[in-house]
Amino acid sequence: MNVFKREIKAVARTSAIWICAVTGVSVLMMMFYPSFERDIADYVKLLENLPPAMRAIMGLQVQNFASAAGFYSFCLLYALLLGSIQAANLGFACVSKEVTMGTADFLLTKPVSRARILTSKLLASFSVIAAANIVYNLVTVPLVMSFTGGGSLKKVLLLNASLLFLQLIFFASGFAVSAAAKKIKSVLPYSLGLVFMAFALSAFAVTSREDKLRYLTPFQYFSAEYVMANGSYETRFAVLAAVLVCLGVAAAYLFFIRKQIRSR
Amino acid sequence: MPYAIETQNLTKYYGKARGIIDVTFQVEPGEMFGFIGPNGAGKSTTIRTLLSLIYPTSGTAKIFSLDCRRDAPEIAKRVGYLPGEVFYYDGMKVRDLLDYSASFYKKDCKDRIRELAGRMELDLNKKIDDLSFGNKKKVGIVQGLLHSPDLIILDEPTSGLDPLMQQIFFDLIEQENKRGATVFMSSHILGEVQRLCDRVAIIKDGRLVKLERIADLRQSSFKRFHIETARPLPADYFAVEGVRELEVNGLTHNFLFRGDINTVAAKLAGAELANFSAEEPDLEEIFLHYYTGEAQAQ
Repeated sequence: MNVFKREIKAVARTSAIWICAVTGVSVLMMMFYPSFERDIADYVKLLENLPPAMRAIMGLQVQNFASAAGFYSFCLLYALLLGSIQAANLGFACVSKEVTMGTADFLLTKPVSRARILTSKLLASFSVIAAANIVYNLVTVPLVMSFTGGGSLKKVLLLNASLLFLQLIFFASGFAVSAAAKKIKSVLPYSLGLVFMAFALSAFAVTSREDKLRYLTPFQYFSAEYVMANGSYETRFAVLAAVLVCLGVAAAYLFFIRKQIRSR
Repeated sequence: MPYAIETQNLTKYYGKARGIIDVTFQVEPGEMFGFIGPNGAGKSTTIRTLLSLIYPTSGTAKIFSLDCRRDAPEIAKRVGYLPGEVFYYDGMKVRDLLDYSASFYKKDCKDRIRELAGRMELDLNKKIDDLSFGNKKKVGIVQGLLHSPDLIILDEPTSGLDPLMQQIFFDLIEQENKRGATVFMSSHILGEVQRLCDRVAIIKDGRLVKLERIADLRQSSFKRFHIETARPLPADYFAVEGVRELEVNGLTHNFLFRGDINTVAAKLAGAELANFSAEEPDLEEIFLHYYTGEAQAQ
């Protein structure tokens, strides 16, 4: 419990800022919806003239734009991007910060097993991700529903849940790398690199219409287009996501228990 | 009674780089055990292996008959560790850190923290980031001792402490030892080990080269003599048994001596001296002359 508390304290402030940013970007973009709605026909024409690759990078699926939920699925993409960076940061820093700060010597010579330390850290990170998603839903669900005038709550919740799942995937990847790596001096280049690479792959998967590419990037696992059309996730990708998270966490334990903490 | 520390052919390679090779020694409970050697000899590697921060390539290490790797959390309850360089969490106050440290042990350490901080003159309300190197070290010392451990492991404990603090620190360690704690301390300063410890292990290039009682070491250890005479003496005047590396340069005679000090004293009494000094050779000299010399002699 002491390690858990310490961990929460350590990440509380930055996490609060991230949560505001992730929620704020969705809210801000949603604010454009009323003015957008008035001239919707013009906008759709304008957007249809953009090259397809450009639309893919911006995450525009024009056919959805007519509804508030559809417009929201576009806003969500930017929240997903930020949320993924937040989660990747959290994962990459989880173990590596103890090593780079030199506090690993302190923590690992205390009477707790390494597995327990890692579990505390894992639970703390999960709590942060849970808090982020609770705040995000509490703010965005009423907002979006006020625009759609009731209905399609399930779709909005499913869209929002993709934030949680993406965060879990990116957290788990960072977590595993952080436990395995000798030393990560600065976390941000890793998390930005990972997330933007996945994001670019996702845009490429859309433009190339190559279905296999979709397996390579988590941004394609919970397709907003599919949710809007079917009101559900694609099973194969949902399963894949769950497997990735489990693998990442399991790998982190394996690596961390064997980790050699060398002097700085 | 089981040994406090027991290693058997402990070997650690970092990839291909040598850490330690075949290190075998035992530390008796209640003993003060010194571990000396030059930088990079393997002192920290040995300590980190004992603490299960790194894992041995081969061989075993036991503390209180428990396996250092398998039973690390159980061992940690009874061990206090002071790292060579002390780093702590950003933005934490001294008190926060010590309370955090205490929270890992299932006992009340409040009085002990207050007592130790008082003796080390450590301000509990300061932020650790704002402390000087020496004061951070004090935090490390209190942190290592607050749970009254049965075994205290110290890695270069006195570097960064001023002489007055060193004295307080030595007193503190001696007091812990009287209470029954075993002390294992590494250093590259022979003097401080000699002063505190009962026995000393000397490590060089990853191997244990000597394990001896301090009393014996003192008796057998070399002294370096610098002598200036008022009048010229025969070049071989000081060439008596036990003298090594005799250098004569006009009126000055320099040599290393090991043996019965009275033979040199008698020689000195028969000469008219202008100046004279006898000093303990530093660690480097012991390695150079004593151990390598001994190996050649055998």
